Amino acid sequence: MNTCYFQRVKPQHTICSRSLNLVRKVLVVASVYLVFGLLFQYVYADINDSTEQGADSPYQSQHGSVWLKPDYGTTPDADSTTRQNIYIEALQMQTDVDINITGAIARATVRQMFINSSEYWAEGIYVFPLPERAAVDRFRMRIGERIIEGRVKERVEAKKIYQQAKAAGKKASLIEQQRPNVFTTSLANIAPGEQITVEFEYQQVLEYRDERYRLRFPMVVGPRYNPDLHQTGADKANTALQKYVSPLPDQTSVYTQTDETDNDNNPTRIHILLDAGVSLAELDSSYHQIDIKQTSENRYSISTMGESIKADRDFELVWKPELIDKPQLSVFEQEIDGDHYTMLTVLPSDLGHLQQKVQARDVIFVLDISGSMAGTSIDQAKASLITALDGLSSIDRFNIIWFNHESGSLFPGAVIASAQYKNIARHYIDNLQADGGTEMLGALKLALSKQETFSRFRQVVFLTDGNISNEVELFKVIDDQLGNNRLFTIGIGSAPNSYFMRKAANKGRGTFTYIGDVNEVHEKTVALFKKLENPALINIQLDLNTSQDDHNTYEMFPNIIPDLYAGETATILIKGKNLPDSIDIRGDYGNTEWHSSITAAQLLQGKTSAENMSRDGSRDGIRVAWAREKVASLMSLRHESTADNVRDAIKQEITSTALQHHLVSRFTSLVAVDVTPVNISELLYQQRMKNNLPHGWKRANAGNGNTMMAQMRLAQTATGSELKLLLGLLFFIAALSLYRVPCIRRAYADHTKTIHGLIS
Amino acid sequence: MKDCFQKHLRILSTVVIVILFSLSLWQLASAGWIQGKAMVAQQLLNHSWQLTIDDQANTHNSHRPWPWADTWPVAKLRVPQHGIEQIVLAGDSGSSLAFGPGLSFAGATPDSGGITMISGHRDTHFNFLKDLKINDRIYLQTRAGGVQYHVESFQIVDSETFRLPNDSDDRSLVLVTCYPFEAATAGGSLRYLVRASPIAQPPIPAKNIDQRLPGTGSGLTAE
Repeated sequence: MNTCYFQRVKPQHTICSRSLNLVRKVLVVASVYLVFGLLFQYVYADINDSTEQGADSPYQSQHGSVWLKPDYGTTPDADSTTRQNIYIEALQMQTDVDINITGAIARATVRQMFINSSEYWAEGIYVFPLPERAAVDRFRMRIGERIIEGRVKERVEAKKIYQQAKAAGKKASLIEQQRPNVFTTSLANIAPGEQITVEFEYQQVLEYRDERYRLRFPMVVGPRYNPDLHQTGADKANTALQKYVSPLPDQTSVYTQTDETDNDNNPTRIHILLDAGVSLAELDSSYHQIDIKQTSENRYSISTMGESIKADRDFELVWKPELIDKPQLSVFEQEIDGDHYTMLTVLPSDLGHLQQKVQARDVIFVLDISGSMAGTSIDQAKASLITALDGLSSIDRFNIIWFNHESGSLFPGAVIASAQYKNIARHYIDNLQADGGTEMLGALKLALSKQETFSRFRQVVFLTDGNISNEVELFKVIDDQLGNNRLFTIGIGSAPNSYFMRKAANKGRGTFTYIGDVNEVHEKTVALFKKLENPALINIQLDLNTSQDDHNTYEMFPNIIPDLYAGETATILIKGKNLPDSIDIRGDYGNTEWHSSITAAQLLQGKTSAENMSRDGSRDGIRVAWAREKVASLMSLRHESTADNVRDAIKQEITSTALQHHLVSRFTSLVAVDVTPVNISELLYQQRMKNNLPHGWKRANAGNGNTMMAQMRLAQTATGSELKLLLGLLFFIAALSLYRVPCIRRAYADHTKTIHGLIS
Repeated sequence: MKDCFQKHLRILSTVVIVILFSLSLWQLASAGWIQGKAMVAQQLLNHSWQLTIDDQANTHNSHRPWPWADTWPVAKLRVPQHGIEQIVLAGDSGSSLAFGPGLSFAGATPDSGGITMISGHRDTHFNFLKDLKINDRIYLQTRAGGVQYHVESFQIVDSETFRLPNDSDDRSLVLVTCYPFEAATAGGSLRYLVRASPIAQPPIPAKNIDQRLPGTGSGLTAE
């Protein structure tokens, strides 16, 4: 009996535990191997990564700073080890700026001196910013006493001319527009020890904001242009510099080399002559010390203090003309080659006066709460909506519309912005959750619904990060239902369909705000909401009355005059074969209608003032301003179209306008070439001029605050799947190891039982 | 007494085992879900990509792979040397990247000027980037046609400070994925960039300025 039990139990126990043990062992070993393997790889990768960050890595290509390299060919197959890269700091720069301001037009002459202190022939390339909508129309190269004027050419052709001249050893220089406000000058064949000056002129219609004119001379191209890495400190940069092998053959795209050290790379001197035309309430420089001399009643001479200033922050001159309590209209006129160019400036009344005549408005907030908004975007959007609620006065009305794949609104229609309703709205905003897909149509229909009273001035603010694909339908809704609405679109992140948003805002007579960095959502939307609080002059209409039958020959920019908000001006540029008999302009401010009319006599007076302006160096300022405005409006039209043939047609028109008016544009450049070859046999060394790091900027946060150029952020490109796998396996092992316990215990119990049985 | 203790211990350990097993199952399943989604989605995408290229007239209403999708196919990426054939989606937000590599809206498309930037997860679609070598061929087919690229350089950058400057004269293809490839956790700031230049269409002159062959002095330009 006992033996029998023993014989029956023992083999079963052995088979059970052996096979179980084997399986268990295999599993444990495999899991341990996997877990440790993954862990090790993770740690190893970390170590690896920290060594990769060292300067030796060829990946660390873009480490800023200056370099000068022999201008060898860099074909993809070229063996990088055979290239002897020499890094010498050879070229220095110095910039002189003279600016003449007449009324709202500034004409600047910029002289960039390239100084080659090395013993090699060199080519310098300098990337620099200019004000938005600067019209560069003159370019020349000074070699000793000689001046070589630049000619306007199509961009590709200009580059070719420059290339050929460079290859032939001639002195050549080129100015190109890379972005609306970023330009490059290149200067080839600078002899050892030589100084060459390139000189260009640009004109700009000054910005008027917060009741002040602002002249900005930008001096830094932020490191956002510069694909710099996480290394900090000059030492690292220097080592990186010495061992740097260029992996990218294309070194001519627009990015700058910023200097990590505190050197002054581009000493700059600025001198300004200001003829304000009216008496000034204020005149000051925002960031630099200046020396002001009043030369006559409304004329001033302004210079930067000392020998030069460091180009590490923008120069800004601000002046405030004395305003009166009604909108004002000023006019300038010029006749060039049988064409009349007219510039009208509408100056609304001052803010203090305006606040007594507040324009009641309806504000409709439309918020995207689709899943992609989750996180920072929705949090910041909610916070800015709450700030916007505070800005609503008791005569305003508002509503909140949300959408994801569905849409809905807080109130059935806009309600008075009373404290009670605002509280409800705050609570409502707090409870919005980001989830679901993106379908904008329903929300747009809700926002522009015809059931709402149309007599009121309505601002619809659309905030989304989504990709919109049914544009045609959406545009139709906007066209059909716009009425008294103004559409302000805000696009967040890298995904928004800028084409749609920009065009929608244009159709909707509002603005498009692009926010690339989700962390800037609050700041930028609040700035927009603040502006929207004070409409100063709306529904502006301009009529050109003429007895002649040439009404259609007038070309006016902008075509639709935007609403003016407090502290803004509108500048309208008109070209025509004849002067109109009179110009009527009307608009609403507060609850009053404003109307002003300019007669031919006043236009002629405008001509005299324009002639005064010309004498001060602006020559044909209004023509240039008109041409630049035309190019800008065509460029934005081109942005809005997707059909290739339309884009090509617009490109053609831009090119011909720019060629005719001698302007640098996206498709035209100015090029100057000396006739005599000077560098016959020497190799040419190329240097990208370095820019100073903007004042107060540190490497770590260099990504903030500069949105001048199209930049691409990199996406988040890993999932947690490996971590999940690792955790899953860890839990599995833990479970297995615990599972052993009862099994052993049972085995032990069986064993003792057996022994007991044996003994008994 | 002893039996009672053992009984409790047994119940406790069973509970713990069940919990641990279900945790393990949950983690493994969600890892599998991510990987599975990435694989299965590509099949669905293939279908809607086919519809997209067949339907040339329709320019803006792209064919969405499933009705509620936030994205749609824009291109097909092929790397024959590594047996890769993937459908590229519009946008590089997390919701697109779960299903396939995403084309950045900030960048250009292969048929327009500018850098074409495609991002993908390092542990799913773009795991093959680590195997790419200089001069490997990459094919990108869009509705407009196909472009052939060759890999030109690699670069590791910190996405917190790095911004890819988009010059419209530069028609490179840039593939982006997370780095290091072996990291177990997501969310690191390093990125691995593969830059490839088009072969079929010669790069426009802007790329070739300043290229002069060594030793030939001033006479020659490599246009």
